Amino acid sequence: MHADYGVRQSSVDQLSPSSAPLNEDRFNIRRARLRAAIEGTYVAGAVEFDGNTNRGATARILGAEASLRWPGATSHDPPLLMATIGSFKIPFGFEVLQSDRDRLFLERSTAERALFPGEYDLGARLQGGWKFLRYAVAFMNGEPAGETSGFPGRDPNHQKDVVGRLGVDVEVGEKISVAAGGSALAGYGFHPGTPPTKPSIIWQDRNQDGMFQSNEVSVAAGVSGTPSSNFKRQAVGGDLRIAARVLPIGETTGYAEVYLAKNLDRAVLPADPKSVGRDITELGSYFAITQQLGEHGLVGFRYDYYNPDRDSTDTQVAVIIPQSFIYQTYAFTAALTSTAGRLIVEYDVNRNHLGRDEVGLPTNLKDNTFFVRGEAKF
Amino acid sequence: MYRGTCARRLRAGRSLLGAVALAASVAAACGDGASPASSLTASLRLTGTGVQYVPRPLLDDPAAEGPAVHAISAAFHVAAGALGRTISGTVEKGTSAVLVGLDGDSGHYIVPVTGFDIDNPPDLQFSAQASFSRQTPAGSAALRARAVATDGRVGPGVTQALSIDGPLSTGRLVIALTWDTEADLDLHVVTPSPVPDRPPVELWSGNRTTLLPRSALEGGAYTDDELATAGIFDFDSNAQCVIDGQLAETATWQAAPPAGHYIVKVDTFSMCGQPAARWALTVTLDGAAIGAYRGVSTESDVRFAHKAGAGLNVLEFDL
Repeated sequence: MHADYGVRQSSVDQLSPSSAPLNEDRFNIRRARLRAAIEGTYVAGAVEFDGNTNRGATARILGAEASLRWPGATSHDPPLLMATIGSFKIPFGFEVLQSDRDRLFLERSTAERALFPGEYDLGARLQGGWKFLRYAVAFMNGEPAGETSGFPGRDPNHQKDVVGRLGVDVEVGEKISVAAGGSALAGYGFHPGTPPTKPSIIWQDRNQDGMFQSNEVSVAAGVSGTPSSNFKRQAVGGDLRIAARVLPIGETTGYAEVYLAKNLDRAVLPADPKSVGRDITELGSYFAITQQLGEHGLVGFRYDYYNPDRDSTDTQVAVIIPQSFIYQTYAFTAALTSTAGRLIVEYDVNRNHLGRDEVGLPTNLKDNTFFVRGEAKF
Repeated sequence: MYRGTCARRLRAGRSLLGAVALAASVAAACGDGASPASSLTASLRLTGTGVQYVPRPLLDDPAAEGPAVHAISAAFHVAAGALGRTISGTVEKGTSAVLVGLDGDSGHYIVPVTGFDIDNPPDLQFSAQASFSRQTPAGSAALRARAVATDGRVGPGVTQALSIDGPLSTGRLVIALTWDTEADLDLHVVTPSPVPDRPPVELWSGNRTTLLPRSALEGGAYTDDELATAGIFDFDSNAQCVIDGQLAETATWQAAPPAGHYIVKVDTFSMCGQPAARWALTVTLDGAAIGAYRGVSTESDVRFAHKAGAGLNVLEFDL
């Protein structure tokens, strides 16, 4: 269970056009999850419910999976082959699959939240491991649980996304462990069609005299409906994680990941190439380092980068030029840890290009955050 | 400026609790960039591609040596609460953005130039959609624009006069209905006839004056005196759910209203998708309140007829 108190620089005591509060200086239950799992020799299953108050009190089913498996050589080894069907985390990269209880940083990187929002999706998966090799491949709806537009939990097209990861997980001596892998995704997104509209006449009382004038009438021509259609989307990624137990104060872990995708953003700047008229390519990456400080301390730093549209343009001084949409975050995090939970504080320096400076050029819109999180494990 | 503030706050940290409070305040205050403040606190609201709100007044500097604004185009007459207006203009070549604001307003806007003015090259043009808060003070106002060069120099201000009407009309007798959400509510006022021994007249959006229709044989056009003494219904706000931002309807008499019995009704024509509309009805005679009532309209109030005679009886009074 994660309970937060946060302060966000962009908070204002107003409502958005859709009547949602714009204040984010608040107490919040970020996630409260109950998970039940069964681990037999050949059968496994799990169901996970999530409650939160991110957009008001919400309870939902998140994970639900049933598996048949061929166990590994020992109980510590991953199964040689496990076939799963249900709702589970998308097998892409390292960060998507990382447990919220294990991650020091409060949230995943911006790129991960844009490309794989909510982490969970419905599908069928084959995964397993042999010695140091790890593999996973899945056929999924392609509508992850946290996408801001689209059909989370449903699938508007019959094509399925194929996604998988191939990696290694090795111990180098007694003090260093290395995990690395490459991931790929190929599938189809959905562009919704539009219903036909009838021609209509619009009267706007522009001079507000309560009287009709002929120049206050405009005509909205009717348009025929357009059919829905699909578009291709792909992603590749690479991840590397190194943990070293060489310092007397505790383990040092460094990890990094890079994502290169096309038409895959489903949360930050949802990609719809049919609307824009061109493919939208995304590039994201992050690197992080964490250091244990004795038995109960942990500190970390993470830099993440995300460009949701590498080919975006802007009109500046009447000339169309390339525009940067890049988001960057510098996260400074510290935690007090125990087996029952953690107390985490994090300060994020968020950089974006959403504001305009006095010259009219894109600039950072203030959005730094400070969070205190209480975490309890049962 | 922000860096200095942050440094002082960092030195002020003493305890763990203090450090938490310190970090929270640093998060709220530090970092450079544009302000995320909401323009809802300003009288003038501009939207458009790249338009940025700046939460401080736009001051003039006639001696400034930056680029010039050549023209501003905006409707002279606007009502507080007006929506969907356009403010545009042309500026000198070399301008990258235009600062636009109302004189005396709490903030102003950065409006990037959009392209060349095809009528007056090499001038550049700018444009933004404008709306006005219902709290905009009525009376004369000045719309100011200052061009900003690519090197940051800000030019002198150019102003255009505006005449802003308050949301409510004025007169000797004013019956005003106001409400708080974008629903379509209608004011109906049954008034004594201006002609003795004739039946009462209902004033509403379907009959905007108490003057009785008459043909040329009956006397022809109305005289100025008749027009001055008539009751007038001013504006059908949010008619057919075409949202106009007014949220007010008024019946007024500029001269002495006729003596007799008045009935004031509120008809909920449509909720326009809103769950509720809290409304207030006030009656003032020569500036003094003689009646007031508040109520709430919901979807259940829409099911009745919406024609003459419609509406919930709210107030009755005699003059």
